[in-house]
Amino acid sequence: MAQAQAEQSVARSSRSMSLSTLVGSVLIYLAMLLGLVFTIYPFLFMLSTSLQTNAEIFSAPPKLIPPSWQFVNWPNLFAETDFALWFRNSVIVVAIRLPLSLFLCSLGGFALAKYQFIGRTLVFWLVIATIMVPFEAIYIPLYFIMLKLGWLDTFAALIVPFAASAFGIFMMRQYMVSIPDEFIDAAKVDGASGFWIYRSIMVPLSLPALGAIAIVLFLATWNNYFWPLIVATDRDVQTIPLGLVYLIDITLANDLGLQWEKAMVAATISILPLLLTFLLAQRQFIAGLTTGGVKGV
Amino acid sequence: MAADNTSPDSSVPQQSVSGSAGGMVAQASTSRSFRFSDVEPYIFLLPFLLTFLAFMIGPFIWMLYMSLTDWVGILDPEFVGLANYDRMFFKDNVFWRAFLNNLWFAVGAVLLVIPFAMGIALILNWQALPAKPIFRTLFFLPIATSAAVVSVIFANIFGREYGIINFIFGNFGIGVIDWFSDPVAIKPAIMTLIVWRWSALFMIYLLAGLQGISNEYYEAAKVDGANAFQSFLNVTIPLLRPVLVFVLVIVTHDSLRVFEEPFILTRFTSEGDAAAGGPEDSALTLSLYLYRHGFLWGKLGYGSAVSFFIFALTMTVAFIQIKRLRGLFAH
Repeated sequence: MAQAQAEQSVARSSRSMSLSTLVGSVLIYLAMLLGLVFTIYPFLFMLSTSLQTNAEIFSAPPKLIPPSWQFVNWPNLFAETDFALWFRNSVIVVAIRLPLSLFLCSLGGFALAKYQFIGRTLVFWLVIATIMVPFEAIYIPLYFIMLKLGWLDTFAALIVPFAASAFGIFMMRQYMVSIPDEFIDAAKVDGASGFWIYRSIMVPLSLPALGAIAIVLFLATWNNYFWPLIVATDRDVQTIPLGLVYLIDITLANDLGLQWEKAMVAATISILPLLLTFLLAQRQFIAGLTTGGVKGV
Repeated sequence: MAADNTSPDSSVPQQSVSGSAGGMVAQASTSRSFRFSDVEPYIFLLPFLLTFLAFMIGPFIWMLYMSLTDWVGILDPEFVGLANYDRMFFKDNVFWRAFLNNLWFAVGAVLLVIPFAMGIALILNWQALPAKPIFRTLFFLPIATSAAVVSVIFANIFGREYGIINFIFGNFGIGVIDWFSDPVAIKPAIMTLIVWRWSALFMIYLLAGLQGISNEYYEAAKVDGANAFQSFLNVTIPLLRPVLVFVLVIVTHDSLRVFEEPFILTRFTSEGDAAAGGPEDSALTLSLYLYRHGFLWGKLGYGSAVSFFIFALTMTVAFIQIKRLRGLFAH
């Protein structure tokens, strides 16, 4: 009797357990749906707005489905604004900064990882100490240096100050330390110079780290808004984030009108390179962000 | 592999800063002495070091000095000692307002971003979730955006007449809110933007951490009769501690110096640079205050003092957090 009762209560509890797991699942799906809507909505909005006219955007209620699919907005962006220029500038800055930083950081990282020399610890700790220093602390003097060097409104100002990335050299050093010394010893026996070792051994073996760093730097550089804002006042060197905000600048409303629809096209395009990189190199992307883990320049 | 750990610099940490399960963490290794030409390391380090000193260390030191002058960019700087700091702390209420705003954002960010990121990470880590790569990509999308892009989008979403938020509010009888002109409303608007944008990044950290927790722990907990909530509290949280502390430090650090979100939302929805900071400076952050005084108004000396304060504040808070919540950095 007691046994039967015990069995019944077990049966009951296992039934209620699967009910609660079911409810749990539903709740999780619900939560995820909400989170998804919250996360995705701005993107849908962006895409949808890029296909509306100005009048449609500024009419209540806001529509998620473009009433009249204004595909013409997309070529118009190029025809009626300097977007092509901004895009070109962003590409130039990234295309120069990335190899430059990777070179500086990998070469320096190599020195820090595999050599013994006076000042090694000092440099290492100096680098670590500066990783968390906020940009706010240095941009005023840095701006002045740009001024003094005559680099305002040039690509140099957008590239050179950030070439020596503390984050980059730190990651390279850490990664290279884990490369077995045997490789280097073997080359040393053959009489190889340090630079040959760097070029032919360390770099090829460090490609994962280089890739991860490149992605983080790409992200930071492509999306950089503030620094270009203060050093690039000349249209010729302005990058995408600047141009985009300029398109909806309310203070210039007399000039061009608020071009939200084109701004959204620009926004969509500006996301594409990063999106592509993420889709193609997801693991590198995540590795770059999680190790060392510093956002920004 | 040589077993002798002849590392003369035993103080040099051998592992990366992040405590999470990443792919690039360097294992402890032996350092050996290479006697190539003795000059080689210096030569290799030189390009980096020169750039680094010129554009990072140099400006930093200059900032320290500048903060003790009253320089305005032209004429000669005049040494004024701690006058800038005196003015900043004791004579400018706006400074304290900015400071309080930053605290508001910091608390808000910690209380909103971290749980939200945690929630998404948990969902993405859930065994039974189908099509994980797709959902992971979707939740990760915000990282690919620049603050400028997102701020522009949110400026519209929170638009008074045409934004979706007010549209929903209107339909639910809450009424239309003038998000960008109302000193009280502007903070939540900016906060929403921050939560939206930052959660994706920290979700990645937390997800990596979650994936590093072996299933054995959960199974052991289940054997002990723990339900989902209990195993979360007693298994997940403790094991995730290093990552959580790391996330906490970074979220606080970033929210104490947040600039772009409030800047773009307030500057471009009102009358330009002068308005950056929101109605009655309700969205003024320390870095906006810095921008206003140091850049717009050209008071470089005073601006440097402010930037030093931001530096000292973020560093101190981070230091305290790390100290008190130890177990973060694996040295």
